[in-house]
Amino acid sequence: MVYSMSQKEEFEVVNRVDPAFKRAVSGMHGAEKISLCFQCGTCTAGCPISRFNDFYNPRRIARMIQLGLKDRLLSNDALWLCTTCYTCIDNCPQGVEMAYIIRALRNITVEERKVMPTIYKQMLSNILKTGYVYVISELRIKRRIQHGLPPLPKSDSKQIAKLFDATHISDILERAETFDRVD
Amino acid sequence: MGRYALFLGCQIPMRIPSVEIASRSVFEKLGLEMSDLRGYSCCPEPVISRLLDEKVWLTVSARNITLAEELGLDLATLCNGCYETLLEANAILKRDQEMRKQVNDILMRYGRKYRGTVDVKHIVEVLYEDVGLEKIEEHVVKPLKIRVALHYGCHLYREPNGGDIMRKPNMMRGLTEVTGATVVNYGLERLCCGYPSMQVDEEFSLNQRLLPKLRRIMDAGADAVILTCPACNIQFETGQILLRARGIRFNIPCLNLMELLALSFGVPYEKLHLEVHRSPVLQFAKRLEGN
Repeated sequence: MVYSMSQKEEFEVVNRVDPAFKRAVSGMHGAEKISLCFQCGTCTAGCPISRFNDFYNPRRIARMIQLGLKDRLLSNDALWLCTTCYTCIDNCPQGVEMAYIIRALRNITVEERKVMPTIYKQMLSNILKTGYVYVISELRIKRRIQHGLPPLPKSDSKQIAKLFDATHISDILERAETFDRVD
Repeated sequence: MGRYALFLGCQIPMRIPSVEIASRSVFEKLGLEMSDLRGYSCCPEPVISRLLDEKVWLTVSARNITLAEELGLDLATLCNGCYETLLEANAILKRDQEMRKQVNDILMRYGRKYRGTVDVKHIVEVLYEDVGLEKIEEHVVKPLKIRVALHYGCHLYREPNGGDIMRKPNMMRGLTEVTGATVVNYGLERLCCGYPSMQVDEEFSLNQRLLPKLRRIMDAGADAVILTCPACNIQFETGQILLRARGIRFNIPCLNLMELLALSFGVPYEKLHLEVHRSPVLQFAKRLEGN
């Protein structure tokens, strides 16, 4: 028996593909060369993450972007496993900068799905509130003086908060959902 | 001799102030004039802020660069993370006029404007290119008879304009050797220390990243690990403590290149407050003094 798709099934397959997605990705910094990937897999061979996670395979992620499988890509938390070691970039024979492309995907995920790892939300909120990513305790400031170091220049946290507002990240930070683990 | 705006960042001045003390001692000996940057904020941190939203990353970074532009001085950074953020933001803003306009539209509301008039340098570039190994060697009064393993840190390799990625790691190697130390090769220099994945999965970060590195470093017979990145330094130190709690006994001293230079320049170890380290750096320095 020859299998044939019903019209509804066909519609669903087409609907899962977003042909404009690769152009949206390639419009972001560092992701310009996504079309140059010819699937050799050198990125994945050198990737210290891909051997521990089935989804996190830079070669396949590149292909999924080219094909426009946007929903499947952005709904998978494994995108956050990249540790930005840049081994993939250093090895790519086509000059495709996979780690930057993963970064572009994360930017799009945050913008569209408003979701991020809990610790990232905390750290970004720290910059927003204090100007520094690590909250600086009084004890540490005292210890600096004991060590004979000059006072640390004060951060202009009010201005930083305004910059956060102007780039709309404050808004996203307020609403973003978080997760603690990637399964 | 050169003058720079010093970008301290958050990790070094707060978590490993001994690196700042060592750096300031080295600058003084070499006659490098460093102006502290007033009103600076987090660079911001390249792995987190940039991954979440590139525009906020670029805007906050541009603001930090404008502080150095006001002083008319190139920026020097001690930390690999600050280096990558400021270097790449500077490169993007110099190249991409549209992006520069968008960022300046925001900054000008608060009386600032990015002009693209300064460069960003990592401290190894300042020491290697602007001061030079010859001049540094003159200051080495206590050559260190030790074997060390180098961990360069992933962010030190970045070359946004397409240069040789080993350019700065080779400088770090040269600066280490000038202290008299012998660099041992262990084959896993390029592997990430696991610091960024620590925040997502501790077991993975320790067992798949730090542990293979430590094993190879010990097999290579190193007396210490030398780093430039404070995040890697913290990972190597707290990582060893966490591994010991799991019964894997490593306790190798992990110190910053600037501390190594300061020790070879004859700065007394008591002055450096090496006790802020969570690996036996203080004991290591005491042993060196005894030799």
